[in-house]
Amino acid sequence: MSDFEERLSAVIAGQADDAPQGGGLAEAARRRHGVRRRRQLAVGAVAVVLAITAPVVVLAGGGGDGARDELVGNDGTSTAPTGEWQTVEDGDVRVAIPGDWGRFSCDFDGFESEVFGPTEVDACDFRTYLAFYGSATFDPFAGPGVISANEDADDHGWSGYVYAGDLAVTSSTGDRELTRRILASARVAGQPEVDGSEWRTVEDLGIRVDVPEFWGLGAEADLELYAVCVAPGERDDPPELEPKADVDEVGVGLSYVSGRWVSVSAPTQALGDLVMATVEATAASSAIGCVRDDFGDGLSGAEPAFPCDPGFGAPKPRAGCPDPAPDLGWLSRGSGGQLVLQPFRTLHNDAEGEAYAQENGLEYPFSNDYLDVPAGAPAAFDPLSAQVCTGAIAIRAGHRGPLEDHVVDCADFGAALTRRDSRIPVAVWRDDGVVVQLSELYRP
Amino acid sequence: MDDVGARPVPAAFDDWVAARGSALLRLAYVLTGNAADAEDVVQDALSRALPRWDQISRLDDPDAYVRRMVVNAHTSWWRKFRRRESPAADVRTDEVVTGPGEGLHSDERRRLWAACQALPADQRTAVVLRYYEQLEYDEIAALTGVREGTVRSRVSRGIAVLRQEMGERDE
Repeated sequence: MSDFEERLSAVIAGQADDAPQGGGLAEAARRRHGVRRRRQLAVGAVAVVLAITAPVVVLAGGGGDGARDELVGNDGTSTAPTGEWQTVEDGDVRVAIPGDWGRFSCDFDGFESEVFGPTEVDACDFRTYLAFYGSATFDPFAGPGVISANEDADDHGWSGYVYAGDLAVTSSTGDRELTRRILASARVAGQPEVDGSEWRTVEDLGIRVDVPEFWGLGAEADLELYAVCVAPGERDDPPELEPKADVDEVGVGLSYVSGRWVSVSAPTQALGDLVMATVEATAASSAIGCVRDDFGDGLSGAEPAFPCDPGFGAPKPRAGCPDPAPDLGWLSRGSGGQLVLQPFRTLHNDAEGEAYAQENGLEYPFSNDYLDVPAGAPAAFDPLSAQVCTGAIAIRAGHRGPLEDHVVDCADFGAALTRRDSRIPVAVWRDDGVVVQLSELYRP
Repeated sequence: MDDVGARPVPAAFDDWVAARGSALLRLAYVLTGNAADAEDVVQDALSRALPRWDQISRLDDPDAYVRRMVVNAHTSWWRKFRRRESPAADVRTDEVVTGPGEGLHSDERRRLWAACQALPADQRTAVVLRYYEQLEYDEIAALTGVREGTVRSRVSRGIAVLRQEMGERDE
């Protein structure tokens, strides 16, 4: 094993110390097995029971003792919406509900099921509640994401449902916004939790649509994947959705609205359903395209935190950035301790790249399909001269989100370059000689 | 490093989980990169092992069997919910490094871990099994269900990326 491999082994082993403790694992596994087994049993039962009484819920949660701590999903991947909320789960589906709700075992003509709500009466009468259904046997009266007033004259609540994984999640409360917020949080383990507490109505391209601020993911989130787009087409000929990313990453909805097709790409299927359900035509229009590229920023009216787009390693043009062609290079510490910028250019797996590889005895094709090679003389560079700096992977001080470009203290570059043989790939944008932005580039 | 294969095998599921659960969580943690997903992966594997525990506990190496279930659960989880970017480790610059790797500068340790977390899932899995579990290539191949050559390629490419991230040349 090489020195590098030994260091890697030590680092991974050291990180493993941060793993959670194993207490309660057997109990949790037993509970999860029980949920899975009961759901399998319930799916068969629900198909029969639906004919005589609806709705009927698929069993959720654990042993039915109502212990509040068992309600809370073991889902540390997200934070609950502001306020006292809790996460409940059925299998791998998670939903955030108010913290003072409980889980109740309800008897539906001999079929016992569990429903969440503020009181047993509210839950078991389906007045104010959350329930999970096996989606294969769920027989809705409206489309997913539609939140409508209850038809019962004595019930002034608002009801709706969404899909998450293999389940349908249905809820009703006396507050339309609360119902929508609960449903917006429905997700499958591993997906981000959407905060549906703040929504904005946007009009563009002849449609009106409601979207949670920053798609419910916060101002720091990468919102590039999410959009509401309009495309031409006949009703019986839906367009091919241009995949903005792997379909597993987004919830996608498609609907025909006043002579055009509207598509929604959202962080979860539940949110895609909810957003799509709000789309309505505001005027006759033949416009096509997507409703604002920077949906989240546009909704809040906030300016980007940095003027130029590092593109997480591949700089991209951005309106307002004064330098369309940033200098690329490696930032390192020179022999005198000062920071030095060595310009590089990027070769690809093409004729030029192959010729360079042959000439220099390098492996070809290049790993990751490109290779950065020196181009020009190194020069002293002071990160503190930049007006704004961003990090991506090495410069991550205080950054707790997924890997993405984010503002950092420009002094972090110098702090990170503690070793003379380390270097950080960067882009430098200038305007009349002034460094307007220094960004670390993610160049795997 | 956790040696999940060296101890006698308790017959009871709860006893076995009490003895081996932490090691499984550690493996899942370095595979997934965060505590919640690690718990999710291990609970999923154990919940599937539970109904078959009588058979599994009689195997020559039940540890390896469940470890494989954890890796498979991770792979399944990743394939189902894979993200464009890997979640990063929760690291801070004031972090104090202890135990293995204490000879490394904390910044280097942080960068190397972050770079490891940023590897594509298949490469990261291969690297973790190779350099954390210390498995041979053929063992990793058997565990992940791919050819040994594929494992070698994944490890090699992963190491190359990590070296590049750390600004080091191939040896």
